[in-house]
Parts: sequence; structure tokens; C-alpha cells
Amino acid sequence: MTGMDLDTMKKAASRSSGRTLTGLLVLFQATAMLLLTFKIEYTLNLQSLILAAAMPAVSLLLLKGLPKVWNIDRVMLTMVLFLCSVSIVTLTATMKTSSAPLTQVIYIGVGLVAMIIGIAFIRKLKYWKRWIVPLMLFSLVFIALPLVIGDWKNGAKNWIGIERNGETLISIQPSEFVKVTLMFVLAGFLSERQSRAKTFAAVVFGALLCVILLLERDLGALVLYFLTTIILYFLATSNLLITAAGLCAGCMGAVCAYFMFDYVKTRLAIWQNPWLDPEVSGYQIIQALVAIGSGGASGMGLGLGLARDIPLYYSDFIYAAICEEFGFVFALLLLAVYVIIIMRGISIAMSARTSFHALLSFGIVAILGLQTLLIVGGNIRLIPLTGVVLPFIASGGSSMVSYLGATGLLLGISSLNADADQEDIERAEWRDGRLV
Amino acid sequence: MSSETYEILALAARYWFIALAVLFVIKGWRVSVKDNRNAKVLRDWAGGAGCVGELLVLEDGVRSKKRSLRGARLPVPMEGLIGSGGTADIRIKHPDVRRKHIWFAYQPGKMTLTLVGKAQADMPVTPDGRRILREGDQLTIGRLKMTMVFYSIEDASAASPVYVRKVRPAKKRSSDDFDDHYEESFWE
Repeated sequence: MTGMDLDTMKKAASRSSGRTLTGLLVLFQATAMLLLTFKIEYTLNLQSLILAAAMPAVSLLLLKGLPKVWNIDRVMLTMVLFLCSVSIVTLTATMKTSSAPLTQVIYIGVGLVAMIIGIAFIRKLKYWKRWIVPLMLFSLVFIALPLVIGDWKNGAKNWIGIERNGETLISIQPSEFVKVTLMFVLAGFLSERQSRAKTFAAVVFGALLCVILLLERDLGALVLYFLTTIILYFLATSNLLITAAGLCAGCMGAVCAYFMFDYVKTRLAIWQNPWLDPEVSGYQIIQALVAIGSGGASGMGLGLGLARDIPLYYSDFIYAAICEEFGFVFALLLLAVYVIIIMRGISIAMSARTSFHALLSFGIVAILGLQTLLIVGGNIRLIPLTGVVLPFIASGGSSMVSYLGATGLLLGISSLNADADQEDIERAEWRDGRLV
Repeated sequence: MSSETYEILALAARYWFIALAVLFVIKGWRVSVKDNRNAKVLRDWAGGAGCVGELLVLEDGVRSKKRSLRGARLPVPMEGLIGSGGTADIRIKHPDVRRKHIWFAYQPGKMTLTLVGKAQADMPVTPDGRRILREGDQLTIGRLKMTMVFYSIEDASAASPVYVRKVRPAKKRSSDDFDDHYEESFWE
């Protein structure tokens, strides 16, 4: 290895500091929350004022502090923090009460703790094979719990509520957390040397989860789990025949579901022509389309929109609310942020040193991309609505905590890659005689 | 602040937020493209990139000096396949090596090996039947003999345990026999 090659390697291994991105993030957080402080006439919104200082402070703490402990991908963390900031800003601008944005701030706080735990966990994890079967059993039990003790909510039985004195304290959506364990189990089964038994077990596990989700009528999660299993199977085995067979089986299942279940027929009918029943079943999608149209290219202005007219504007249709408040241009740029996160995730996967880490990274990125596609497509009536939420932005604790935890795993793998690159360079320097 | 003033500010701020988002995305994209290029450079780096050690070829039974692999150092990644086929991670073009011969995986201080199908090879076997290679252990595939060398000091110090077999010295012969013959232990 020549001196010149070694210097090129050292330059290639150095990470971008992302200072400009951090500055832009902090500027967005501060100006947006400061503006919202004066939203109510002649009243100062103290919560927004505090968040105008707290959000930049927490962002700077994470972006300066975490890379000092672990050599994580700072740019990816900045992108994710930007999406979380858009969430808080949009909820503060659109919701009447200040309790909902505060709840979202708490969820994001819990999610950030989950992220840090995720980074530490994946860095420590050496013997992942021991965890596969316990995780598999836990996932099956946890995701089936709503069938036993859950309630019907918005047409699906996929929630568990913790109640006290008849009041629901916390509600958890198990399918959001089982997404992460699904990635673990699939990566564990499909990594290293695959035997027919292992790949069969992976496929059967994915299929069992899909059946449970079908019984719970959680179509969005079902589509996500099915497609992610197929994608990971193909990435691991490159077996086009079986992948194509799986896709065909999924399509046939979808057709059967259309004829067997009325709610599937209703969803498709609403998607095809919501104006057939504009005041009941088609009301939600029509209001969303009107909101997107009203926003135009530059939006109606922060706090000046009427996103509250859309049912569930804070969760399923937050993208439509963003289009109305910020404009379509901003909403498109938001999608570009998701694309950048996915791009960086794929790069982390390709640089991973073990097939387990590579498959886990690909799985997380695939599920993030698919979910974004499903919900944005549903909001703009490109595809039927599926009931999933926009990652990192929509209101909801389960989704936020699980995605931030998954981001932690991704950042942890990126830090392992950086450590391994550093070791390689030190070894090359030793061989070259630069290190004694 | 009056609602009219807020409305003017909010309408003006729309373009500010769009400008911030445009700068954010452009900068993020450029940084990501640069990082991806650097990552590709590191991945394509031949030699020790991502490897935990080397297999040093001691003998290969090939007479021709040009074709002989003797002295070659084959980089060993964390996991993969040893074979002569194109998909092998350690590709060894030798008549005794099958297309897919041995699966290997790194664990701290050792490599665990699994023979593929009917492939044959000699390597240390633990009392419970596992095939592992530690620092200095030999792997023999037909006429091909290799030894494992780890890069890191921690892995290299986890050498194979020493097995000592004591052999009783042979009986002394009669005084007419001038040779005192002792059998010595073979493994030390």
C-alpha cells in the first residue's frame, strides 16, 4: 500500500461534519416555533416559546454529543431530527390545544432515548443467533394480543390500551414494534449460510404475522410486512423464482381478500370514486385533496390553514396538513429528505461487515421507504388508503418510538462500519511502517 | 401581536421555510453523494479492508513456480466461503479445492468452519466436534496446506490449546545392545 493510497483511504474514511445542515436545522426550529408563539391574538404561547429554545438545544446536544461517544452518521441524525421538528411545528400550528404537541414532544423524547439504547445495543450485540427464536415467539404473542384484549378502533383491532378508572392512559400498537423484531428475525435467519430450513422458517414467520394482521384488519401493516419479507428474502438469496412466486401469492391473496372481506371492497371503492359518498365514506379523502389544493405551491402560512377539517389530520393525513400549511414545494422537499435517509441507509448496509448487519439495515430502510410511499400515496389518492402513518412526523407514540429505535440500530451499524474502517487504516499504516 | 400582523408574518415566512428546506435538501444531497463515493472507495479497497486475518499458503503440491501459491497471503473477511468458484469469498484456484468447499465465520479469537456437502479437509476439531481455526492452526485441503494468521493481537493470542501425549520410555535392552532407544512424545 503506497503512501498516496493510504492518504486517499484516510480521506475517504473521514465523515462529513454536517455543520451547515445543523445550522439550517436549528434555524428552522427556532424561527418556526418563535412565529407560532404569536399565533393566538394578543397571547404569548409559552409552550412554543420554550420549545423555540429547547428544540435547538436538544438537537445541538445530540449532534455534538453523540458523535463524541460513537462515530455515528451525523447527517442521517440531522435529517431525522428535521423530520421530528416538522412534526412538532405542524401539530403546534394545526391543533387547537397545546396538549397534543406536548404529548408528541414527550413521545419524541422517549424515542430519542430508544434511539440511544438502539445504538448501544447493536454495538454490544455479538451473538444474535441466540435471540432469534425468543424474538420470534415474542413477536407472535405480542402482535396477537390485540385480538385477545384489544378494542376496535378506526375499523381495526390493532391497539392495546392500558386503562385506569375507565380512562385510557396509554395505547400501544404492537404492529409498530413488531416491525423492528421482524427485521431482526429475518436478518438472523437469512444471514450467513442459508439452509432450506432457515429460509422456510423466515418465510413462515412472515406469513404468520400477515395472517394475524389480516384478522386484525390492519391492512397497512400487512402490506408492509409482506413486501418487506419478500424484499429481504430476495436480497439474501437472489432467488428470483421464489420471490416472484411469493409476489404472485400475495397478489392472489389480495384478490381473495377483495371478494371475501367487505371492508376491502369499501376501501377500494372510496379510492376509485370518493365523490360517490362525499359526506360519509369519501369525506376524509375529499377534504385532504381540497387541503392540498388550497395550499398551492407555497402554502397558506403557518397556523392559517384549515387542516382541522380533515378527519385524523394529525395522524393519517398529516401530509395533507403539511401541504396546506407549508405548500406543495415544501412537502416535496420533505420527501427528498426521506430519499436521502434511505440513500444513506443503503450505503450503511453495503458497507456493513456482516450479512446480519447488512440485512438488518436494508430491512429498516425498506420498511421506512415502503411506509412513506404507502401513506403519501394514500394522501394524494395515488393508491388506496392503508392506515399506516408518516414515519417521524405523524402524531403517535408507538410509531415514533419504534422508528427512532430503528434509527438507533442503523446509526449503531454505521458506527461499527466507521470503527472497522479505522482499524483497517491503522493496520495498513502499521504495515507501511508509519505506526510503531 | 394582532392577528393581521401575524398573518403578514406567516405569509412572508412561507418563503423563508421553503428556502431553508431547499438549502437543507441540496446540502444534504451533496454531502450524501460525496459520502457514498467515499464509501465505495473504501469498499473497493483491496488488501486488508474488512478482513480479520490471512490464510498463508505453506504448500500446494504444484511443481510449477509460476502457478504455485506457496507464500501467498489470502485475506480472510469476517464470514464467507472458501472455494474455487467465482462466488467464493476466498477464491483458491487449485485442483483439490471444490467450487464451494468450506463456509467460515469469525468469532473473537477463532474461525468456525463448516464443510460444504461432500468436501474434505483437515483442520483441528474440538472434543465436541466443532471445526475451528485459531492463530497458527493449519487447514489442509488435499495437497494445499495453509495456516491461519489473525491481524489483531487479541485474536492472535487465543492460540490452540496444547495437547501433550506422554509415552512410556521403551524397555532397556540387554547390555549387548549399545543403543538406548526411547520413544519421544509426538505432540508438544
